Amino acid sequence: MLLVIMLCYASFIALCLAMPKHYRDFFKSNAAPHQLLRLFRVLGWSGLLAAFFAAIHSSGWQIGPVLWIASMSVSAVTWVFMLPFLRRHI
Amino acid sequence: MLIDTLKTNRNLSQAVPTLKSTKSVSLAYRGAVLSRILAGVFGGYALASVLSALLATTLPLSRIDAVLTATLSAFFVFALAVMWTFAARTAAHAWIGLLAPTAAMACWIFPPAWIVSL
Amino acid sequence: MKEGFRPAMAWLHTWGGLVFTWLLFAIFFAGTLSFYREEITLWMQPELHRVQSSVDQFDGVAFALKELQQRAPDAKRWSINFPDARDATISISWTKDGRFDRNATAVIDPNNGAVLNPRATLGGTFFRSFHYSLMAGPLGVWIVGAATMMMLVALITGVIIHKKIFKDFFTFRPQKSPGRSWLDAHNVSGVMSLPFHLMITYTGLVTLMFTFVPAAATIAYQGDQALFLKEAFSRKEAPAASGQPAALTDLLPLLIKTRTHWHGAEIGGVTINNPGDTVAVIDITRKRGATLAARAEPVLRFDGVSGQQLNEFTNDSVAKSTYGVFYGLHVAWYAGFFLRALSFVMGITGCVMIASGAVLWTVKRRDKHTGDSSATGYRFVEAFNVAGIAGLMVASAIYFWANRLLPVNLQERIDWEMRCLFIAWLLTLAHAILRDKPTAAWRDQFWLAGFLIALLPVLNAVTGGLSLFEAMLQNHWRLAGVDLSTMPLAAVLAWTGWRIGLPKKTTSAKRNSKSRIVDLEELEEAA
Repeated sequence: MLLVIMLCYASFIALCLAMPKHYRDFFKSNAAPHQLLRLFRVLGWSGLLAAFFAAIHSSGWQIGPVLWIASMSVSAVTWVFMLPFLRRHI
Repeated sequence: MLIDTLKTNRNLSQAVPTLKSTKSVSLAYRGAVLSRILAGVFGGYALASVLSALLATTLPLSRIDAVLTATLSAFFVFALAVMWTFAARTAAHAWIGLLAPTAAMACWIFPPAWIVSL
Repeated sequence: MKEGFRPAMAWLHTWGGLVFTWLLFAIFFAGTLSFYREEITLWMQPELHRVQSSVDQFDGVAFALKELQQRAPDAKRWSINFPDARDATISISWTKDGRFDRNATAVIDPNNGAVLNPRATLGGTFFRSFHYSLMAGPLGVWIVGAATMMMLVALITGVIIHKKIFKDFFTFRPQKSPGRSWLDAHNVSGVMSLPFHLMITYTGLVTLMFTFVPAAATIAYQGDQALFLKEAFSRKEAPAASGQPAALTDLLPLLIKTRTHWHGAEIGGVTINNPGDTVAVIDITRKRGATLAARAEPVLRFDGVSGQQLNEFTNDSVAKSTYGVFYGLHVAWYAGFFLRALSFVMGITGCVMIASGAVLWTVKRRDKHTGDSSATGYRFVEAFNVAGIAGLMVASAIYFWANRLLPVNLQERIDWEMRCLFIAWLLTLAHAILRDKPTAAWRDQFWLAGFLIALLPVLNAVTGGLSLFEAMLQNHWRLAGVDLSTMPLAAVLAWTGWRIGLPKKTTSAKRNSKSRIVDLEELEEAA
């Protein structure tokens, strides 16, 4: 179960960094290398897919999908509300 | 499409000053809003209820399954009906759009004598 | 009302949302706490803190039966609830004049059969009842239903009017103007947990759907309510008593047999119909929450004299299972430790969404309406925001304090605990109206709530509860969890109070008017 939420969390970081706006903001650079962004995007989506199967594996087909969606929501919210603090202090 | 969006934006920015002072909001406008709220709450509830009753009696399922399915769908019908009342062009449109299908479905469930005699 | 579909939906979202916002916040807040109903109840009954969990679920059955035999030999039905991971005690109840009654119950320590006398309190159940009825009976249920319906509409219209739902997916800019950052907070908390919000709102309506939309059932069953309930919930009628006495069969073998029959599943409870009669019937129900679907637990029925298995009631209809899954998703009986924690966090996200929406409404209008005729109106909305959000936290903290400080033998103790909460809530409203500056009112109340909540573990330790330290040493994590959760909660409240009081807000509000207009246009466009 911890694996599910960690995968979701990592995936959302990747998906976030895959957006030029946030990439520039986070790495404080003006460049947004196209290929790197695509790599982040692929990593993000495959991470979410992997999290789905991890959820099914840990909790079965009934509760697994619930666990997956809940993990996605909570990790995405946590990441977004942490983002400004990271930006300010790192 | 783009022009449409621009137009809406213009309308919006023009709407801001009218909202600034309550006095400029006319009585007719307030009446129309009240009418729509009533249509959304009561008309929407009537539509959702009658549609669920119709589904419950016509769905090709066992009686309890039909009742459950119909009742489960009622809330989405209600939500869409409320949205319809506020999206309709005028308050009168909103009322007609809700009451006409409600009346038609009510006739289906309880056919009045004159329809049966036809 | 504005021309065009999207502006009309924005109007509906803003004004419909505003009317119900404090109610919805209270409903969401109480519902979120209800995820930990049993833990909160345990915390509020320190008399039960030192009950050890039994080795086997059925350890105390003999004590329970003895107690029932002594207290209610002539009752029509007995009921026993077994201990589980969230409640270490056995509770028994019996019927009085044919009905189960709140006063006809007892709580037993399964290890030694001691009858425990926990203080009279609704505990966490208060939050659940308030969540769906506002403690105002059928009228309250209907008000909650209307608010929930508005919530569903607000969620759908919110998606429609949010133009950059994917582009702004990760956008949260607290350093920008108040209007902008509150809108970001509203959007992020709404969009990211949208599956949860939609699910919990819709399934909330489903839990009471036969009350809210009785038309389908009434028409299809031609008004025969009893028949409908029987078909819907498979009410298990018990045969009438014969009046001839007969010894009740031994219960333990039946329980063990049932557990094996359900492949080791936990047992929820037992109902014994006509105990001591020749037609005694024993119904054993599986523990709820083994699957997603609620209200569809299988029941095994035995003859109460011979111990023969009579029938097994299971659910075989697709629509009933769908209904059960919706119901189950709402009440989250299926949720173990981890999913329960996630649900709790998403509930808080929902509270943040509603609260930020309410604050956004005033922030957007605060500057525009200083001094004109509608200023009083905005002041009241602002005061209601403070009392509805921060004041509710203060009042809830007071409820926990009242639980420990009111005398244990007080008459109407349950009512007094609730009265303390509602009186405190009214006082916070008065404070919010009378305080000169809204930001000061916010800060006062957030700090007071944080302070009261931070001291709850201390209060628990000095008023007879198992202290946090002891609970952790004894691995009593359900109890320690309540004490532990107060700390981050208090910290967040204190931080919020501090952040609201910062002068940064006023400087950004006083920025030159040009940039403010740009911001407002941006807002109008997005909202």
